[in-house]
Amino acid sequence: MKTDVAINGGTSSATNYVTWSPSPAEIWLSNPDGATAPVNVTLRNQRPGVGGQVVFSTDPAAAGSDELRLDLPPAGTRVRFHVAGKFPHASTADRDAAVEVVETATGAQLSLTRLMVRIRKDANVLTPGERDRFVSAFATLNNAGMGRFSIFRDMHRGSSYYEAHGNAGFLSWHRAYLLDLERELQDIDASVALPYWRFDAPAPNLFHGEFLGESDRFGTVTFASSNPIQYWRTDGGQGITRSTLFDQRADAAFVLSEAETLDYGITYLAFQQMEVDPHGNAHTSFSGWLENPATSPKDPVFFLLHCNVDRLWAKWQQANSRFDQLELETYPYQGSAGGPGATRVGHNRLDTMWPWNGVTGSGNPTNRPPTAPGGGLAPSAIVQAPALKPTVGEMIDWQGRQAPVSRMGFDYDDVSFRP
Amino acid sequence: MTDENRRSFEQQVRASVSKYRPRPDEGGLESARGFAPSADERALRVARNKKAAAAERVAALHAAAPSLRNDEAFVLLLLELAGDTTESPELRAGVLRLLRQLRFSSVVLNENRARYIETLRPIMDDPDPTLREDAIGMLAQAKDEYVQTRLVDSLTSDTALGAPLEKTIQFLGYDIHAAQFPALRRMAQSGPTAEARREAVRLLASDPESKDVLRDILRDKREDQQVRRASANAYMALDPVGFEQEARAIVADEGEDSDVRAASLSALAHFAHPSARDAELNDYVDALEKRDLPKPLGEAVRTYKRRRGSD
Repeated sequence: MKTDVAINGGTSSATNYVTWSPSPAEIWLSNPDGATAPVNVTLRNQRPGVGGQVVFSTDPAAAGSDELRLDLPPAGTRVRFHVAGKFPHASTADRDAAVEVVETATGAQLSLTRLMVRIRKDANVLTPGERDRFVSAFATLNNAGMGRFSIFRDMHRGSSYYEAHGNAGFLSWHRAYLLDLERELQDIDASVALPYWRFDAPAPNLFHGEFLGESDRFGTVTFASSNPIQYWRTDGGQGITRSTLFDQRADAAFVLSEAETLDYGITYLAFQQMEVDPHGNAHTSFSGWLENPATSPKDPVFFLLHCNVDRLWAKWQQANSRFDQLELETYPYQGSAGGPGATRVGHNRLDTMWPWNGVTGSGNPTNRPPTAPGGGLAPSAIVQAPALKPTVGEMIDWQGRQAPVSRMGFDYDDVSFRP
Repeated sequence: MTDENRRSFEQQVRASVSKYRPRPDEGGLESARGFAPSADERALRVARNKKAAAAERVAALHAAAPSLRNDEAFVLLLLELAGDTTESPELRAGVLRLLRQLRFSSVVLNENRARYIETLRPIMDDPDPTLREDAIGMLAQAKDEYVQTRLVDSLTSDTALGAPLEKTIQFLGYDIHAAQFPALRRMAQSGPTAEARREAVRLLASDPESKDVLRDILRDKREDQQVRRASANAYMALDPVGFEQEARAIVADEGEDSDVRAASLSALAHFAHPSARDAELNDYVDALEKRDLPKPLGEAVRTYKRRRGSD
């Protein structure tokens, strides 16, 4: 007797990646071995306490459990269930989690499906393996200046400032930007999740030669000789220019603490002030490329800094139940550009976002930029959201709390999914 | 102002910001009816008070910035304070950092670019070295023509600009032009410090005529290691095939610096055409793996083998 399991609608291991948000899955008897009545099976972690851990449920709105019993029809009819990472037990390596299916009556193993609980983590506590896979994937995306990273560099220049900054869509735009980049990295190495730089705490392991480099006294970033990021190149120039005004081995950046940030207020209008502090202050705790919107994405630290900005938004959303894009407290500009009470194009809930929408215009500040690099958002093997030409509002419900179909395939190591 | 002084000052600022942030009940009836000043008004009073400590004044400005970022009077106050030579260097450096911060989030500051440039230009010649370097860097990032001229003059003549030579070269990189390459080539070959040569080498990565100079630096075992590694990087950009040959030779040279070998092997692992990872190199790397190697070279060997598996 054998069972097969399909996670996230896939038929290959390429879709065997889960987060804290429940992923749809199916199980069926692929070899009933003469069974004529439904067979009761138990789904469980193969190695409890080792590697990534998962929980199961039949209803995504219910809390998951360590084991799930299901009756499988002998005709091979597929039975639906949901699988999610068991917070906070994320994987540290590809497919270090495994769903074991056993026949409940006999305990005989019917299948073993390997998967990964792929979660965005604090960069300072990555294992050497996680760090090296991330560094290698990022260097490959850059490909010494010849890779697809150049598209991401082109998305965030002075000429596109108003698409992404100084207004309410700041957080949605950057959430889409990070997700697009993360999916490109996962195309290179599916086990990679974008780590975050928790800028209100020391991160000596991040500002290290084996990770994103140490700054010398002139602000040139130096790397361990085996680190491929040393060949980083943008705009035709090589290397990275970054001086830290704070002590990168011992201190946090000059920013509001996480608690102070979450305390801005319970409405989005209050919370969006975080664009200034801690976001702006994190950027200007450095001199060099990071301190200027036109040059900041030239430094890979940019993406880890913004991953923490996004994490803070996620934490604020969770603390205040701000997942419903139709609520004014969740997003203030409910219409679309040109409508009553609307703000600048690209910052209203129903506006699609440049450059993924491909819309060009006469240029900032009042119009879209004249070019739209990169095409639509990179698709995902495990989720359908957001649309590849996402609207501002679509970026809000990242875990699919309002609708499971809205989940975007990422989660943070300290932000759980609470049904 | 030293780096240490600046760090200490910014830590004092950070410690005081919360004093000037709005209270949780801010905006209630008392403020709305005008019976009490708002948090922003209180903060601005402190910021304008010349008798208050500089760190307190900058902290007050930081606290007010989230809500006043698009208030023109606030932005103009920052520009005024940054340019006011009667204020302390600490306060002005703190305000310059706040202005840099608002470039991310203030539409009004971006609309006042001309005033911003006008404010920064005189600071390039301020007696305080931190203020000078900040202003030069901010103007270079803005691709300001005046600072560009000063940077070039500083590189090609004895006209001093108040920033170290290494930083001057780095700042040139924000807006590099072909006319600057001959001077940078000379700097790469005979600059006064290894760091100055390294910075020049970094900029030469976009100059095809520097290919031979970069290859020669890479080949020179007497050259500083960081300059050689920068040259490897720049040479790879200009002549990928030539670089692969040089890198293979370096990896196989037992007398080579182990860091230069590791850097070369890392480049071959990640960026070379798969055909460069041929049987001869693979066999050599397999043999290297069995030896007791310095850590970076050992790491590079493991990475090479992992990536070879995906060819």
